[in-house]
Amino acid sequence: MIREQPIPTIDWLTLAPMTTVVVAGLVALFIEMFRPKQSNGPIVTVSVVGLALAGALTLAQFGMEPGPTFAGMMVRDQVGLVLQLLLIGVCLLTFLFSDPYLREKKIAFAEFYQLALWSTAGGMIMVSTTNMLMLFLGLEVLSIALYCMAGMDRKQAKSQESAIKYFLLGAFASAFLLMGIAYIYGPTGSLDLGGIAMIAAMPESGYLTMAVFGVGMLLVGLMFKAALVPFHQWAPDVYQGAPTNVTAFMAAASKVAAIGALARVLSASGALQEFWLPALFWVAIATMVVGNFAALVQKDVKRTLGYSSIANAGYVLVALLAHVKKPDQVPLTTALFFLVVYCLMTVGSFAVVSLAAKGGEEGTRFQDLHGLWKRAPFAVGCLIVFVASLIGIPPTAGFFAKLFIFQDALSTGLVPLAIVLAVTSAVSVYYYLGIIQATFVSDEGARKTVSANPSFGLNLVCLFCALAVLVVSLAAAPVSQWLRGSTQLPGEAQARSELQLDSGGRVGAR
Amino acid sequence: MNFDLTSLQPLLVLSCLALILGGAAAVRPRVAEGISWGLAAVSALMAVVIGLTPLGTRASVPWIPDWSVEWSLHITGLSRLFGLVVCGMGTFVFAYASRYLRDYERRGECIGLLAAFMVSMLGVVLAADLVTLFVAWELTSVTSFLLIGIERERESARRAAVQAFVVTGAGALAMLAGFVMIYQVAGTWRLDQIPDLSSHPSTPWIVGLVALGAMAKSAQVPFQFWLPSAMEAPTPVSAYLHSATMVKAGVFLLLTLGPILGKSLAWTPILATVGCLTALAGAHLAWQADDLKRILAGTTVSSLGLMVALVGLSKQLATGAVLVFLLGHCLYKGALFMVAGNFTFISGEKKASRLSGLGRAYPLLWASALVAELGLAGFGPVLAFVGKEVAFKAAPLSMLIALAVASPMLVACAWRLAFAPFLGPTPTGARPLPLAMLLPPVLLGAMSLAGGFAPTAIQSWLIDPVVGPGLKRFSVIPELDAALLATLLALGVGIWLALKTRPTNAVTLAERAYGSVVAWLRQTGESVRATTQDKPVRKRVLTVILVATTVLAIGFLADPSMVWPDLQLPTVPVLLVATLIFGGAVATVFAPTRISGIVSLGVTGLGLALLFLLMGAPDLAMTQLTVEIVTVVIFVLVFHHLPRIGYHATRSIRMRDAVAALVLAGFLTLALLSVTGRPDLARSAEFYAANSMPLALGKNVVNTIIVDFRAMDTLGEITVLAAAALGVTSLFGKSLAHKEEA
Repeated sequence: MIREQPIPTIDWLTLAPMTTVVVAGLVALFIEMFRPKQSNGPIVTVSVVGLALAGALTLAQFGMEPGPTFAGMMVRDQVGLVLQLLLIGVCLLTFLFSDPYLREKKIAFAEFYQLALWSTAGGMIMVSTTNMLMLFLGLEVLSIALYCMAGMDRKQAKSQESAIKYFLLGAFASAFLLMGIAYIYGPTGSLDLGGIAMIAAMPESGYLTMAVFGVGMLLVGLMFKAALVPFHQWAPDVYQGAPTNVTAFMAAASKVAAIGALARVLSASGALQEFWLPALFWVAIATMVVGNFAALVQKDVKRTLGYSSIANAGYVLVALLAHVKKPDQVPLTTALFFLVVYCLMTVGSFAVVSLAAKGGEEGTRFQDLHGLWKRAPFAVGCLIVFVASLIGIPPTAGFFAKLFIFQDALSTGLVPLAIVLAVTSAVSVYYYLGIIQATFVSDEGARKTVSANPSFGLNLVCLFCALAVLVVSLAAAPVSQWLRGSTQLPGEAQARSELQLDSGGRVGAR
Repeated sequence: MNFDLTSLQPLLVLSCLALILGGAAAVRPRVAEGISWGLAAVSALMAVVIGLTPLGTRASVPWIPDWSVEWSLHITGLSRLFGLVVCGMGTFVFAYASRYLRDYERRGECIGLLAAFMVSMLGVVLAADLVTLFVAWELTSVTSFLLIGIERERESARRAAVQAFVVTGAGALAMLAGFVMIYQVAGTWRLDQIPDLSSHPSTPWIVGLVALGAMAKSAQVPFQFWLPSAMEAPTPVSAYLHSATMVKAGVFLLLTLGPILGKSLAWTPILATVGCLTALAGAHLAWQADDLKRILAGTTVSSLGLMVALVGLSKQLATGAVLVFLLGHCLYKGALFMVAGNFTFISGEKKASRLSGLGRAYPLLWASALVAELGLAGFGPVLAFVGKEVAFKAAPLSMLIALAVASPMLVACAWRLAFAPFLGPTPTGARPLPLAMLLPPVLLGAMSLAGGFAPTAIQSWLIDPVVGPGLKRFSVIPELDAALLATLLALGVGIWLALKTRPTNAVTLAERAYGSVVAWLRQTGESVRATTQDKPVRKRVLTVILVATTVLAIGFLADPSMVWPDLQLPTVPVLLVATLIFGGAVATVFAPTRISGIVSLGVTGLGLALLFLLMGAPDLAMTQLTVEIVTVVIFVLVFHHLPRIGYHATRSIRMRDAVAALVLAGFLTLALLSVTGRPDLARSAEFYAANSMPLALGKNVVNTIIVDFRAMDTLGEITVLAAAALGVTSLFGKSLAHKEEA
């Protein structure tokens, strides 16, 4: 039987930012194709213009009617827009200091810009869809580009090794994600995350096991990307091995994308939380403890920051859990606020660390930073701000980021998480200060390389991130209000309404 | 927004001025001396303003309205007293520092940071809510960190700075946790709106957490070790931060929260015990030390212990005693630090035992030192003595005993610093002492004497607004009672100690404790790293498999009922193909060489393609076949280039892996069977079959799905492929080109 149905309308504006980023990558690729191995200037220009345009297109959508388009494959909502903007910003900031760094590393022509742009696009898909297949696609677009970027420095065995490790484990985790999707698709015939709630609303159908499998597998795949314990093991290796600008991008962008997707999956499966909440509770504790304690004994700055990013993933997971536990009471804003601040301080610190590269050599052990404050006092000054924020010292934004999470955890009854958060934060003071301390040591005998002179772009990135860390804190009220925008994820509202239906009586199949 | 800053405006303007001056000093070190004088004038002015501002003045700017967080300051009796201490001592310290730091390489930075510290400290004592208090609190920690480590080339300075920050920072986090709990219980951050929480069930926790913060900041046992180490900083810094103001922030916090938490059962036992122990530990530390500044640091720790113990009593008389003693302590300890700085300035000597004969050349310095030593010894017509007498009166017997043990050691320190450095023949090569460095300790001594003679004026102006009226008038004439007896006894024993003993410079237990805590942290970190990290890829994969298995197990817990599908006997061809697939998989696992493994894997894939064909899905079979062939070819190509490697795994490891794999596979099979046995919730195939023509105008359902219904997926797939291709090109293509060049 054939029914007359209207042709679905497509809201092109929702797709516009992502498309712009992809196109910018393509144009950059063509430029490289037609004038190979010349200056990267035009490529950077095109990328920056493309990103700025994408940012503007994203900004233009704030306040517009939220909703799905493309048959529910993309969705426009506050969370997605904020995270897309964040991803664009991270990419832009990374590009600003990348060119001098890549030239110092002597890998200036390795398609970094194109891959990073597409990776960003992948992340943007991940955070703005409730369709699981799109989620998987976004994840792969993000990841495959990252695998290649991690191995970009082909002369360095470490870079190669990290890329292979990342790829092998990443592919493995993706397989689980895919399997999870299949388990939810099987009974519901829907690729939308709403399917989870649909199953959960009908416990008597006997598909609960499937849904729990499915959600569990989805979580495995996403926890890997977010580097949560016990799927964190790739992170320090890859952070250390990858070129530093790639590390900066990866640490910020893949975390944002993974946490964004995780937030959607958790919100959509809120009805099943009795199964996964205890598990994630322990994951959060393990992540905070392992990240902070293992960071104490590292000898390499990039590795230390790698562990720090693991610990930070643990903090933001606490925020997510608090939100999912009581969505009415605790908005997702806390997690978004944390992510914004996290990106600023992470990109900023890695930018400063990237100064250690000079003439094809790069030393990133602590002693390689010795005396840096004399050669790059401004960058080190900014590094102090980033580290203060990472520790959570007011008036930097890191303080509020942690305070909000702490308070959310307390008010939703996740008291042990709040305690672990506070104690591990106290432990982290020690290794964060070690980074600052290293830049002040005057004995430079142990250094492997002389550091590069900070470029204009790098100083700009440092200045921007440092100022932003302070401004976000002073303007915490307007910032969090802006982040909140409308309210929750659409999947979540749907999940709740179906649950209410369930309490009223049985709900039939769609 | 309502900016009701009207009455605190002068203070804010002056604070900004101080910050600007500090910044100017940091940028232009050449004029730092003049700026320091300017800062002395500004802080004097600020002290006057604070003295004149009426009590109860409040100013606030909203910060995060949703959380009722605001920037707010107020002037209460307590904050006025502390504000006067901060600004008053600031005046003397800046005046002293102007000359003391003249030849110091980092004078600009030092003066600038001191100015920043002064404003932060003022923020702590004037804060009208817990958030502002915490922010300012941390700012004082940060400026203290930077000032202690100002000579950052020196390892010991860096270590001391980190140590101080780690201790105070960790304490502050505990305190913050306490603050958040207060907010959750009371529903407000505002100090003047928090009710008495003493009877709330979670108050013991709050008391413990807040006490930790105060103890870390005020160098209480077991955190007292950071203060002697902090003496790495230049003398004006030690005099200001580490004796007069910042270390008293803990005492200030306890005094502020006393009315809220003071009646809790946990309050007195914790604070009184900690305070008494600190008084003893500090006195012992001072008595054992020979380094001038370490002696003074030890006595500071001891005095702080006394103050905390008294606050812990939560009595009106004890609180009054704390405040008087605190004022007296600032006056004499500030002077002593300056005198010690002058000793070093004159003779270049930092050890107390090496000083002698300065009395004849510097009589005024000796006089100021003597007055200050009276305060340290706790005897004579000085303000500290008045405070100590009241404290002894307020203290219960057990506390009195602890104090009676601590006091002689302090007296011994006072005796050693009062006479030995000044008696004897004048040493050669002593430099003349500039007036700017002599006057501050002399003036402080004079104030100490004045306070001693007129304690009632101080009491009615500064103390009564805090503790309320009704307290007995203080007097410098001691009453004949147990307190006086204890003082006299301490005096005698102390002088005897000073004459009979020599400092041993022992490393204290607490210092060793810090070392072992850090060692423990690193060790824990090492074991965490060893158990979770740097594993071969095999183990990492195993981790993922194990977690996935757990997830599946949880899934079965969710719904243990198992629905078995009606399994029909498969047809013979299907059975044959299944055998082929299974055989291929087994052969892959046990394959002796790589090539044979790849071929066996290929057989599995081929079997799958056949299965699809038999099940009536030729298109899927085609795809599977193509992918399989390409994969095998790529595998062979890649493995051809790889070096030959053997299996390293032992038998037991292989067994373990096999078990893990089988368990996971078993769960997956069970899950699959369970799905097959249940009715579908929805059929997506029907939707596509029904809508392929009307919506997508295509007859081939697969085609419409790929290019229409799921066009975005396809676009994404293409992007993935493009990215992968580009990656492969950049990895392989260029390496080949590289080889050719070479």
